[in-house]
Amino acid sequence: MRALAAGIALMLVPLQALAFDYQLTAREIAPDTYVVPGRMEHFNRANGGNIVNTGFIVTTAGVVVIDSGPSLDYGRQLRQLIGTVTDRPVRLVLITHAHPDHYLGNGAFGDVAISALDGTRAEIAGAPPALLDGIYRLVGDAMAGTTLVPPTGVVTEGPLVVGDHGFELLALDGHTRSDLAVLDRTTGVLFAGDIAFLDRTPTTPQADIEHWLAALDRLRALPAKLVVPGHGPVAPPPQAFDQTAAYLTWLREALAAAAARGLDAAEVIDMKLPEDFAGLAVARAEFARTVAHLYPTFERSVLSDK
Amino acid sequence: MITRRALLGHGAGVAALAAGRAWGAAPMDPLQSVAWEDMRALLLGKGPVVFDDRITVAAPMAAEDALQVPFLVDAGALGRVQRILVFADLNPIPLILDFAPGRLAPLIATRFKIQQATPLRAAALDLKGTWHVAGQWVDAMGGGCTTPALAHGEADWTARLGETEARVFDRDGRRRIRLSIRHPMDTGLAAGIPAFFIEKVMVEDAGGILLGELATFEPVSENPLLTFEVPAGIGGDITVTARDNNGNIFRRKVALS
Amino acid sequence: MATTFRRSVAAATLAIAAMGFAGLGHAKPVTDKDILGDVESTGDVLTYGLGMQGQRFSPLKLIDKETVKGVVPVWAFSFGGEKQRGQESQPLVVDGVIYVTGSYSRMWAIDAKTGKELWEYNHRLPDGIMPCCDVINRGAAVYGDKVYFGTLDAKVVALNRETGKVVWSKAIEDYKAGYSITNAPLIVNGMVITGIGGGEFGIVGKVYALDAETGESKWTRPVIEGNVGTVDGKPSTMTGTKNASWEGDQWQTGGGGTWLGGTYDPKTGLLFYGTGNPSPWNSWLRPGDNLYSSSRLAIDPKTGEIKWSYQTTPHDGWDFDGVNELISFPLKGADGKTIDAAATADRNGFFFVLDRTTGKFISASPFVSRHDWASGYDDKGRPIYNPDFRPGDPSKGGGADGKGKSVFTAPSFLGGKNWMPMAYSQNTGLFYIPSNEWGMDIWNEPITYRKGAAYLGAGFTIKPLYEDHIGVLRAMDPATGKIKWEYKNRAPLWGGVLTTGGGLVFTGTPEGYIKAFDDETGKELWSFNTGSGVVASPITWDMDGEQYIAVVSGWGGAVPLWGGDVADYVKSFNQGGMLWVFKLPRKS
Repeated sequence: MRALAAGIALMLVPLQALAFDYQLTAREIAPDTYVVPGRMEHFNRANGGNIVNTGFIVTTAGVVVIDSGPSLDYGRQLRQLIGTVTDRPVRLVLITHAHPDHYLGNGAFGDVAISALDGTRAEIAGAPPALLDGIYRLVGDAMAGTTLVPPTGVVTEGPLVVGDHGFELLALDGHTRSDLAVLDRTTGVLFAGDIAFLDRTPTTPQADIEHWLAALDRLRALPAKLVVPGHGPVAPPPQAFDQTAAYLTWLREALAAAAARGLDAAEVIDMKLPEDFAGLAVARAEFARTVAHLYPTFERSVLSDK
Repeated sequence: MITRRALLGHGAGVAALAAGRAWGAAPMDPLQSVAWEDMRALLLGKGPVVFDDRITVAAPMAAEDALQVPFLVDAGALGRVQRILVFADLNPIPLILDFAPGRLAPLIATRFKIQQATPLRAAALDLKGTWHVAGQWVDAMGGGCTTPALAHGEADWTARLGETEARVFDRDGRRRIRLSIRHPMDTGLAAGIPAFFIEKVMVEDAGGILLGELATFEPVSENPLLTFEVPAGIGGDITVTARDNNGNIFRRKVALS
Repeated sequence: MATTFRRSVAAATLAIAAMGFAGLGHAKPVTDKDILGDVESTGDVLTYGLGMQGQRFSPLKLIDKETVKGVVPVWAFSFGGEKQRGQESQPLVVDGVIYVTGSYSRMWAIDAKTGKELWEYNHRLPDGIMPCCDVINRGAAVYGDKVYFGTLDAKVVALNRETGKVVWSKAIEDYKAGYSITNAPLIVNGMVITGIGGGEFGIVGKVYALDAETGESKWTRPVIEGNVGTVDGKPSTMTGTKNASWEGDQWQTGGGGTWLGGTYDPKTGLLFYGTGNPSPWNSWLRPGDNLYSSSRLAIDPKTGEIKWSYQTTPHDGWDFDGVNELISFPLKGADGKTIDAAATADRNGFFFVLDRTTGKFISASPFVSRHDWASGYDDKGRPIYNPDFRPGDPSKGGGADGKGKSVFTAPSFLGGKNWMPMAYSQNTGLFYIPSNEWGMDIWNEPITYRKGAAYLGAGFTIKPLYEDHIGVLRAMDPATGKIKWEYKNRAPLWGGVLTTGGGLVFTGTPEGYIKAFDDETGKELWSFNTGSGVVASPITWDMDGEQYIAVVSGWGGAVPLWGGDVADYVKSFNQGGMLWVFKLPRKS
């Protein structure tokens, strides 16, 4: 209803600056458990940066939020959305990793404990101002008011009980240097963060392929019934694990082969993608980014004097 | 002589050109860059210019890393060429490199620092004196030219200055050489850090005969990775000699076979 | 390459590149003859010192005691950037172009008439450079189509005079061991000759001769006995006799930085280089005279061999050094005969006159009010020490925490006179010495050599001797050793001196003034506030029938870094970096 009201206001007074309307919806995927799905796109002005899955679990002790989203307004609207589902207060926000689409909504939860792995907390606290410049440039007005708000608390691997839900926290790495996955043992839902992607090409700005594959193996071993990937649809395991692992394995081999042939990065960008991956959302553009992230290491290993 | 100042001043030149001068029958810039006419006047002189898609300019559509934007230029479809210029219209220092292939293949690849979204172009001068120009836009958040080199954070970057790595790859009979040189390639635009960059790379055969030479400019990325190709028929060792604007000389011998 | 395309700017770039590593070479070449005639040729300034002998005397007299009051600025040139540190550079003037160096190893070519920049060379320095006493440079040298200077990372760089492009660059030592170059090179017989700094890091000072065309080493001469020199890159002769005045292997880290460069006397054909303090400062660790530290050396430029030496402070325990410039001049003896003499005003507070053909001691006269460490010199030229003023041996105790007994002694280690060159007037026969009145508490402590680390074994703090002044510009009669006049300045003097045929003595002050004095009376005749401290050496030349004066302004150098209690005298001075040029207004 609030979203609708905002829409009407926009029509009536079009010159007034209004919050970007994310039109967030909460999909109940298990008891007390909701996912707020994002689009399988890159940051742009139309999507307001909403390219990410966030989620929340309503416990008897309050609501646990998984990731705060890409902007202050997203965070506010996520909080309003939670308010339409439950009267219970937000008790804890968990940030899965230090990529801006997952934590720039922190500003809307300033009165709540926001926690992350220590590596994630440190990385957000140390993020350069240019990071925000870049996202403001891509996303535009939807970012209005967004600032860097580092997590205030630190979580570590192990069990975490909130109200009537028993969680298992996993400290992983591979997608970034510090990746948190959250298994709700009460429902069997695994919030995999960006260790798992489904139908959307994985992003690699800080990726370490070997560590990432090892992290996927750890997730496979969990007794999860349903996997919420950082990006892409919710599905039972191991679909997202398999697809992400297959892509990473192909990347590793394709980039190594290109380096061995002496290709320059500018040529690798135009490489033909296998059919399995060419159909993933934003495949071509994301692959070009990946070449910039990962190819220099492959090139160097070929050039270095053995 | 082309000076950085002259190039830096091109922003003012654009306005002057727009106001007063027209190029008559000159072809329209397919990239619709505000700086195209200025680039043409500054870099290509008064010779004939054609836009020619036969030249490959491979580069990403968007710069993921403003400090390292890869590109590869291949003018092989034109046959032999005298020179290949690579430039980015809207960079504060537009000219990236000036390659005189000589007996080398008319192919060059390296990386450059991007300051803002800009056309990236290659202009190849054919044997008759016509410039053939191709290019594409590269989107960027930018700042690459005014960010200090990573080396600036290292207390003792001189210890590894000029270290080289090289390898030869077989490319359908041609030998592709990829060579990296450790060098900060400072543009002089980052506060307090003077311009310090490799400005010349010469490729000589085993007998010391010049095969081709490359003038490189401030926008070439830190620790340059150069890719060029030696046609079939040239054998033995080649020597690559690079010299920076402080007079440091770096040499690397590469065995072709 | 088709000629039609040469006109395009980019083509021109490649055309330059195609000429190889050399530059364009259109500038009128500067010859050895030009350099030797620098004093007489008033239209240019081709050498550091306005002549190879370093007299800093110009016969020009268009500006004189009467007209100097009308001198006004013509233009000023900013060194720009954020690098406004000490500026101790003496400009050169060649064919209407000024070549001036600045802090952080920079050089500019500037149109002498308009102040328009022609080019800048900005040396990319490693972050690990270790200059002891600010990131300064004292000037360039010109020869042929090139202009040369030394850098803080111990390189000599040859630039094309017209383009400012590097022709060659030569690292003569490893800056990581503490070496740096701040002195202006000399040109003698087609060689670039330079000294080196680093005496605080246990280096061995050397004098280096490089081929001006290629940068190849012609010879090197270490100044500490026991070390072996080179000729054409191969070992040559040993300096002195190993262990004659050093114990054990201390000569290997014996110091003797030649950091201030030298002078050359065409008449005797000798290079005169001063040598710095022995390392470490703690003299108890190195018994002996420690030759040739704190000395003046005469070196044959053809071979790099030492022809004679004179040690002003044997077994230096106060960091007095002996680098101060040795200026050749004709000394009129009591018998009316003229001796080929040379004079130097030492950090230790004494003004020396030597026979420059043999190095024979003639006289030593104090030029500062206190010289506690020695009462004077004997007939042979050895100091008569006052042992109470040598800091105590740490092994005998007397100080806290294993330190030796502290003493207060004057002059301080910054010297009765420091780097700033004096001037000799061919008109008055007087030397004009920029001196300072300060002492120091100094104590010794244990120290072990480590490459690239400060090698002092001493602590110190400097104190002014007088409330109202530290700096004193003094006119010294070399024949009598008497001071003819003096001018007192509150802050320490740190700039060089120039004297002219117009009867004027010019020097700068840290307060920011360039001043002119009557060479016979010391009366101040003119001053101009440049906006930042003047710690550089002024020059003069004539152009289109007018006499010009130029000086670099920019406060810094060793005083703000090492000056202890002097801070109270100088803390309000602001930094800068500016070349000022003056002349008389044109008569309409």
